[in-house]
Amino acid sequence: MAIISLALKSLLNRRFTASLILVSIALSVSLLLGVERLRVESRNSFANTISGTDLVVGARSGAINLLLYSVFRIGDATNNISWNSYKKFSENRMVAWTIPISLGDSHRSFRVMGTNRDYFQYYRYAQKRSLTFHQGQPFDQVYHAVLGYEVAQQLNYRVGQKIIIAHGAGKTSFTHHDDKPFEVVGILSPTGTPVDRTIHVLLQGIEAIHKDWVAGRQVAGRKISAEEALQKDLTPKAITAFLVGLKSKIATFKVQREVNNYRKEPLLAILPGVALQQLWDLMGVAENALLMVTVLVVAVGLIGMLTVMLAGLNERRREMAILRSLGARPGHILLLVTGESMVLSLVGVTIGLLLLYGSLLLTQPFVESQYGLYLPITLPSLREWFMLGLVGTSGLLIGLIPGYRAYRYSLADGMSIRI
Amino acid sequence: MSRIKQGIFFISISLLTGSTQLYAAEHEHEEHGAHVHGEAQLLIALEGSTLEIEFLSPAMNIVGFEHQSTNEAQSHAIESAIEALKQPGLLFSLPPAAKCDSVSIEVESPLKEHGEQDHEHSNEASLDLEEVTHVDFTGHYSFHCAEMSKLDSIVIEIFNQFPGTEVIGVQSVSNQGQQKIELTPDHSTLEL
Repeated sequence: MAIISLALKSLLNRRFTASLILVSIALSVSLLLGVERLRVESRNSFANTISGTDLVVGARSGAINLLLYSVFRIGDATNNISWNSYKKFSENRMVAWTIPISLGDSHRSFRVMGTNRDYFQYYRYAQKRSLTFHQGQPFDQVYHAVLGYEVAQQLNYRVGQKIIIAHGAGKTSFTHHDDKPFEVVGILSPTGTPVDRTIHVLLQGIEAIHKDWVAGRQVAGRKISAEEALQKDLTPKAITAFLVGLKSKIATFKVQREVNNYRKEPLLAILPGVALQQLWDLMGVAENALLMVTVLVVAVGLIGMLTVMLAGLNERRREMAILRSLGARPGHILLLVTGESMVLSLVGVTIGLLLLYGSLLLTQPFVESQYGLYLPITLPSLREWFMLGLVGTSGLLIGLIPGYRAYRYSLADGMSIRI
Repeated sequence: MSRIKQGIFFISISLLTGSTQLYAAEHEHEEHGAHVHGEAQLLIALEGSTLEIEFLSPAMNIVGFEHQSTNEAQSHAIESAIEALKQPGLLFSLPPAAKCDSVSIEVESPLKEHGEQDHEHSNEASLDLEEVTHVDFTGHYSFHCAEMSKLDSIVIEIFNQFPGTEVIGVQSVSNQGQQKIELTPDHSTLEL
């Protein structure tokens, strides 16, 4: 115990160098844990976004691509699929429910998604939880909109407000569907998924705002007012993708094959769980590379500590000799120097942990609004404890090196050392 | 200048009509699924007390060639392969506690069991095979398991049965969710 307090006092005496070492260890540890947190939470948030959907059907492209644009609103569709194909498969006898999805427009950088009321009934996220309303109710008219929680929060929208949808998905769009405003009728409860950042309208609404548009432009002479558009046939010709729920899981591969072999249109049906796994396989390489880099950063931090301890040792030979003369055994010297390294690495790890939670607290709202990634502030996971333990143990082992050198010196040096 | 414009006009018109013709012709498009030798696919679905397994494998993994048999040895190989595929017990071992009984077995072989084509047409036959170069065996197995909760893993024996198989991509679907895993001869147990 006396040795530990001696180690602490000795460190306190060299507080400037000691605090520099602490900073480097703390930063590297918080980086390591931060990267691990991000990895785990991004996986969780992806896995929680879709639940209970058996198949996702879209235009033929890649499985990962289809999953990303249809469910996570990342990237754009390569192609749309015809309404007739959708109708045909939604009436398949093995299919219990379908949710059509039509993407392409936006409102102040939030995606607008066309769908139908089945979305609120059948869409499931996390552990098969269904969507609930924070305020209001589902849409039942063409110019009604239901907002995700995040949209309402950020733009400060309330039920009853009118919003204007912009053409295209860009952050700043120059063309607005300002002749056909939508009324907010509902706001969904937070889900921690891309649903929070989506504005939901009926497919007919998407069709209506594009009624007087030809080839991506509004035609000057053919303006159709909001009321006139309602009189027209608002059945969409094409949608972006649709989600499928089956009556029996056994039929999954059968329906998938039927869709993939559909002769009239090149369609692709994917199993969302399987596509997600493919995505992890792909991301795994990058994740491992990132983890390697952070592990190296921690190693650099620890080596920095080793350098400082070894460099300091020469200056402290007289100190050691005095300690020896006061009755300290060489073993005590070893314990003292190793103890100093251990204290440094343990305190470094603790500060690193505090740093991680501090930055989590600070960046949580920003990360959620910018990247849609919810970072829960929870106790370290088993894997994180393991990492922390590993850093602490390496600190101890590295501390043995200067400890051993001090031990050797203390055996050889007398009181009158020529430094 | 006007000539060039005219030319462009004609080219675009012919391209347009050409593409519509192409579209009409391709209305019934051809399909070419992925086909990698050494890799097989296993699709597993379970719900209630039903377990369905579908096995798809390039003929290369099963018999070592992908054409109609040209001699006695090859027809024998096809025959014994089909015989093995009809016995799910040789391909998968299910935990006995789950009490699974085979309900139906369907095996589709793209290759005939006996060399039926005569030698006069053998030239033609090889031409055909150049067009359709890849052929797959499929096996469809359905089980009824009395104790589905005890079905926690399936050991895949396909690697022993057909040593040409190097990797099996497994997709499984159950009420617990969907998963994808790759099995190899060293790691041939599927955890459900």
